[in-house]
Amino acid sequence: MIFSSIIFLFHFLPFTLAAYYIAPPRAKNTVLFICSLVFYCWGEVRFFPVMLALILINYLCGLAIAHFDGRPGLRRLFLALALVGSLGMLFYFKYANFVLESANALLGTSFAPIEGISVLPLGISFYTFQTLSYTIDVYRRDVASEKNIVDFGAYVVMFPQLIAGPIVKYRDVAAQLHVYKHRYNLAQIEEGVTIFTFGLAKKVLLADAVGALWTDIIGVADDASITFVGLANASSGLVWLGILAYSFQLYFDFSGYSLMAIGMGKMMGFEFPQNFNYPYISASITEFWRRWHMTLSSWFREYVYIPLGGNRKGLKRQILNLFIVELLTGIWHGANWNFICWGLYYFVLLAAEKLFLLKYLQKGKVWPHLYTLFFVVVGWAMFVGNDPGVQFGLLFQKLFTPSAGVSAAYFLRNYGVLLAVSFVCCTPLIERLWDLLRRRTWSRVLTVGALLAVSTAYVVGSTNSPFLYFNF
Amino acid sequence: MQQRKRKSGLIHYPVLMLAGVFFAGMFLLDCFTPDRAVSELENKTLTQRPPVTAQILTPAGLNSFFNNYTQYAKDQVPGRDAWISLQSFVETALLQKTQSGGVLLGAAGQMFDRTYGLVSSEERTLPRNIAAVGALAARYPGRVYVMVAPAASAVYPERVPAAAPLLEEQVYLDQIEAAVEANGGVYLPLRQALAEHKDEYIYYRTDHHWTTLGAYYAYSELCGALGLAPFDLAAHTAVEVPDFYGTFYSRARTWNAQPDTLTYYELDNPLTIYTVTGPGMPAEGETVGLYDLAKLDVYDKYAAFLHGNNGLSRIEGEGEGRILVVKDSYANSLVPFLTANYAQIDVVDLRNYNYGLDALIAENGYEQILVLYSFDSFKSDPYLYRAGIEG
Repeated sequence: MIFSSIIFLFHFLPFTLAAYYIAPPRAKNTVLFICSLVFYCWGEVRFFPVMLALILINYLCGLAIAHFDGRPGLRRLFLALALVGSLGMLFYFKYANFVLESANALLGTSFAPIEGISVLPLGISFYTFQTLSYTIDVYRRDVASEKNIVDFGAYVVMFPQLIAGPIVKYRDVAAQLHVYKHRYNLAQIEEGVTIFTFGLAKKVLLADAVGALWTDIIGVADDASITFVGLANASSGLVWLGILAYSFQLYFDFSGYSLMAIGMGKMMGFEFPQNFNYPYISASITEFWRRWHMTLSSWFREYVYIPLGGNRKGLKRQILNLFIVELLTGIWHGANWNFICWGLYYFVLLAAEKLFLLKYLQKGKVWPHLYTLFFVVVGWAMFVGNDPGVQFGLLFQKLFTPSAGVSAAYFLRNYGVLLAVSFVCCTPLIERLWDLLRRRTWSRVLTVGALLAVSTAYVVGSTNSPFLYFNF
Repeated sequence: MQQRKRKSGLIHYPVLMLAGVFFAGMFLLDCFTPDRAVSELENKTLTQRPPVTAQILTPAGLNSFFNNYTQYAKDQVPGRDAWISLQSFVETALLQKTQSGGVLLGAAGQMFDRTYGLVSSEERTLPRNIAAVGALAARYPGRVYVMVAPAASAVYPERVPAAAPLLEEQVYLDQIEAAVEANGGVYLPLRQALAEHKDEYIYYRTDHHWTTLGAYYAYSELCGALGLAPFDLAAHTAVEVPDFYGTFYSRARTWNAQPDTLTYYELDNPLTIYTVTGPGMPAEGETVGLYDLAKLDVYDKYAAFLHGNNGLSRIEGEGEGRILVVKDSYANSLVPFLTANYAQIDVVDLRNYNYGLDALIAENGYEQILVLYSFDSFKSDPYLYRAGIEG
């Protein structure tokens, strides 16, 4: 069930919120847990045991780590058990077949792929990272272990951030999970509704709409009846325009989803961390990664980079740590070589900035922005390079050797206004506009109302395009 | 918002009230409005609420229940048609797009199919269909005539939005021509003949078909090739049916679409629709008029011609001899003109006639066999191959 679908917006969400608000204080987490499980199982029931196992392993290990407080050996054992549980599941579903295939290709072996895991359990990359953070935090004594399995289950499977983040650490919401009375207030719910609407609009009015430019070129993967230009027939200009549109789409899609999650969190009395902060206005790649998918970056910083020594063990070690983090970031995004390349590409850029480039970038005014955008967009080309309809080599050949073909003219005309709106929405200008509009009650109501109505029209009007991060 | 003093009472939170009314309203409307069986505009039956049965206790049963319910929610959302129109309005009026719902919005209100290229299935069907008409021509030398109606974009390139990368169909039309001519058939090109009349109303604006007048000019080409005297338009009564919104409109749903006018000529020739049970001439059929007049009052008005696409039908005409028409829906508005030239016109739509043509041709001994398709269905039709098979 994706957020921008009729079933979610007009059936699941109103029903769940009503049940949540009506439920007596002590039962709220139970309602949240059950509704979230339905959300998780909707469309694919067979992964239900996966979720239950994950909850149980981490819940029990958390209790055990707390229980054996004075016995470091046992604490380590249960930590290892929980890590193996979470990471093992992630590895099995997401990477096992990739490893087998790669081994077959590199070593000439002939392992048969594992059957039945071509579809990933919904959101597994996100919730395994959440359970990891919980057990590690309990082990580090940063947070008390959760005694109530329903409360813990509600945290793990909580539907707003289940499928696409933000990656919420247990300690971010632990306090609020145990506030039963007055967990939320009307002002918070209203803010949540507003943020949710913005997220929905970002997803359906911008991401899906501008993403159509890219699928005009490469086709729609799950609908072979839709005609497209074909990468091989497109001119270099059109391919650049397409990859730009894809960059817009990826940002609006993902940040729209995060906003919807944050909004729904607020509606239920939870404060989730911010996940995006205008990444495309960054003046360096280093800054970009502080603004893009912030909860993932901070997760890696806290649980990988800093434990490895961060920048405290000399420059060489710091570069190595950077390498490890970027490699993992790439792998996290998908089980394929292009994602690994993409991660290493960012390692090279970040290392270059750390070693010498940053001081020049800090002096520049316009060129650091252009430099950042250029490398980020080329990065997205690498990112999308393995999608159906895209040939990695051909894509880069089209981008970097001028070639004739179907020109960008028609697409600029057709998508022109949308591209301009998309550009503005990538900058803080859109926030300034909202600051103006929110001052007056009527303009505030009108803005949210119009966005809600038009977004609904788009949800109904278009066959929904699935959320891009599903397979990561 | 945090700085504001926290007030209680919903009245102080107008955005929340609005959203609450909106979602609760949609929810209640959904519960209390009756579900529709079909959507005329979308030309499809709508999913009904799936029943809760014991099946949902199995994983597969639960999955299929979830899927059906999702489909049901989508199909029966309150105000579905109005929401779709609103989207189309935002797309075309605010975002100034030149297409909506996969339809290109051209000059003079003309709509075009968004055909950027052949899709992968057409890469297979098109060569197979070319081979099929070639094979048919080879088996009945001198008797097979092939006409392929060009898309409106080939006749009105100047109305297509500037620089739109539409598929250039001439290359493929040339291939069809070569295959037909090489096997002893006759290919009648239509693009030029229609383009000479482009100032007239020969293609619908909101539908993918040609108008009855467009069909008439194509028919005139056939008459020219066969040396026949064409149907006399002036001697017959033309009936005009206004407010025809076609298939392009139901996809594009633009607020400012100009409706078309559908024309038909009053004819009282009988049309027999056969119940097809096997190859060759069926025994049973139902005899009706040429037009299904009831269709003129509903959305899909073009279906009035020949009562839609039936597998095998026969029309008795005033002329001499017999002709077999193997066709898609473009022929439905053309076939009535053939009553002036033939005594018996048999019409086969291979989408509903699941056999080869040899038995039918052997039984009836047609003087001519006309294959008439639009290029759009010629390239994609998965059943046209039946024209080429023996038996």
